[in-house]
Amino acid sequence: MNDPPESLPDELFDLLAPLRAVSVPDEARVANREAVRHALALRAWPPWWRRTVAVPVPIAVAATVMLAISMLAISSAALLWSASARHRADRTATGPMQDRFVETGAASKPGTDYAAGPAWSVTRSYIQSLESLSKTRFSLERDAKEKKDDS
Amino acid sequence: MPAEDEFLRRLRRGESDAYEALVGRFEAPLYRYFLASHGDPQLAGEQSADCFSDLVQSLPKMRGGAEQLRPFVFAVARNVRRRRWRRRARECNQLASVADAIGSWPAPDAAMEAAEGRSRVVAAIRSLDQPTRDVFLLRYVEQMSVAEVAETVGEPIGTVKSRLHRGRKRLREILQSTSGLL
Repeated sequence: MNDPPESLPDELFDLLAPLRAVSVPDEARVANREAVRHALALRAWPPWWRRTVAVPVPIAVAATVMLAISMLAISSAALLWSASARHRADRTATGPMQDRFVETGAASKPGTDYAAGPAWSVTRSYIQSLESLSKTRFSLERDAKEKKDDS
Repeated sequence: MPAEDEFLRRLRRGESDAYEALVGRFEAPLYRYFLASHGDPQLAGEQSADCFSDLVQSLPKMRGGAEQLRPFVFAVARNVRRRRWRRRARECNQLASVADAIGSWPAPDAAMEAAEGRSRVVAAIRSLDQPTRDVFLLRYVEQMSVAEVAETVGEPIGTVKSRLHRGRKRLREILQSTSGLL
């Protein structure tokens, strides 16, 4: 108990004696016992969030497996849903181009290949421009002829 | 120590009689420890109650046998003291009331003189740094062995010994310089 090198000189030891003789006030004694009683009551009947229940191991394992499967299923469903949503979004984004193809005629027919649309459209535009050019040319020639006749 | 082991088993089971015995055994040492740490009797009382409340929760988790009980109780007390959750400011202003808390001595003049001496001792102990104060109180007021102190504070025995040496030296200096008590 007493290790000589760490022992206290007598005068210091005596000086500390009154501190060793400190008496505990009555209210502190009462508070100590009350605290113990309260803590024991809490230990016996803890609040519901600190209570534990005994579950047989097979049931615990089955519940864990079911939980894991459910989590897997939910995450798979979420992935599928996000993939389909992305696909729908892509289709919506390409919609106006398809409408233009529909306008161009050949692509609007069911079963036709949309890839043929742009080529047909360009060709049609080219033909239409040729037609308008020829019309302009004809009208200019007609105007020139009329002016010549008038004169 | 079969009786002590049985006592510990009853504590772990949460038997109220065993806790009554525990309070009876440790309330004075814990109160002294807290009082000497800060000098506030009321705070010391509250901290003692908190310590017993914590012990009810933590004793079932205690490792080791009955010989570990005292270091364990004081380790919990150190944690309670470290929290300093209330009235920290009061610590500095309560030295005057320490004398009233430390014993009740009948003769007014002698009592006043003794009280003054005691409050000086407490003030000197408080002037030590916290780790030194802890080992000093546990060793010289609670008269624990060096090994028990080391276990309580969770430090090597060599460190505890050097702290004790430093504490003795410092306390002697303080007491000599302040009042010529020695």
